[in-house]
Amino acid sequence: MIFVAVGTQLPFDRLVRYVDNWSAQNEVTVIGQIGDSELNTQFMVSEKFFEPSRFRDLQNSAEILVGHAGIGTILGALELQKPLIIMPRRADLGEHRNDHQVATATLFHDRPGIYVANTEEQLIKFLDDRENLARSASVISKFASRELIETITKFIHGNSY
Amino acid sequence: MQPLKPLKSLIRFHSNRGKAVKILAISSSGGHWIQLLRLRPAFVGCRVTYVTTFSGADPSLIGERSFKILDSSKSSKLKLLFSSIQIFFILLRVRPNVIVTTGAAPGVISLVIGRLFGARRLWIDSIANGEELSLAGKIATKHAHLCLTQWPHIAERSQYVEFRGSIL
Repeated sequence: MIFVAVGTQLPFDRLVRYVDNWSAQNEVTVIGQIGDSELNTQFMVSEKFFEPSRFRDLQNSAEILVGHAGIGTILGALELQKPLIIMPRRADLGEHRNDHQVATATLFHDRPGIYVANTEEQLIKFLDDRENLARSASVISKFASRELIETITKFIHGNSY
Repeated sequence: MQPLKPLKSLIRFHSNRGKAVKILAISSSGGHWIQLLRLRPAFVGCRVTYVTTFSGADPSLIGERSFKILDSSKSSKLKLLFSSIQIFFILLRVRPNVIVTTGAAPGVISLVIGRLFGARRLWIDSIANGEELSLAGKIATKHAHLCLTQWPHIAERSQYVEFRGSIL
């Protein structure tokens, strides 16, 4: 199963449409959290929002995740060890206030398990190749780096940091 | 870090007299919030109050004290004012010893107001800001005791922000 999520703040119809088009040609279950959107998907099952626990279940059962280039999306996938295809929202298309997702995507595109698709073609390529994507997922811990935790702990307790 | 000019606390800061350190952990929803939660090992042994801009029941927060405030950003002065008032009353009620925030606007507001309460103040800029410190982060350098970036090259360029690791 492939799980697509666009975040809770703005819809991302361009990405949803691309995935829906791909679903038309492929025999895979695709489920989408499409946000505050009026889009009627033809081939994938979609809801505007899911309850947090249901959302987590869907992420856990998915073979791969697809989403926007948000930090929450990226960290969520890394924590769950799921490969993630991200498409950055673009300000010029009205998908976000600014292009910081484009910058975020650049920061993470070298990281194993994260795949950046800027066009429909690139997205299709990754989706078609999903079984190979699964094998490169990397592992991260549930918490921040030890150095940061130590610095903050010392700061909190008033010791020199 | 530049030295902060001491400000006379308008509200008396009460010491805990040996009790657990009180922390206010505040951030906007989404990526900022996810990053804040990854800092939790640093809060062990402290009394933490969480403040964020959504009320989605995060299962990991069951049993923790939390408040929801209005989401605000520089695009609406009215919302900023409203969240400032909410944050003021939360600070009045909680009287934290320490404020930890991963941004954005509500975070920097809490540092500015937190100064009046004599709290020790920490800013952690989002990992998404990989080229320069965020706008809120730049303001935070004037109001935080310690301002952190998650990218070494950003810390190298500025005496007001440090790199001490990242949330990854």
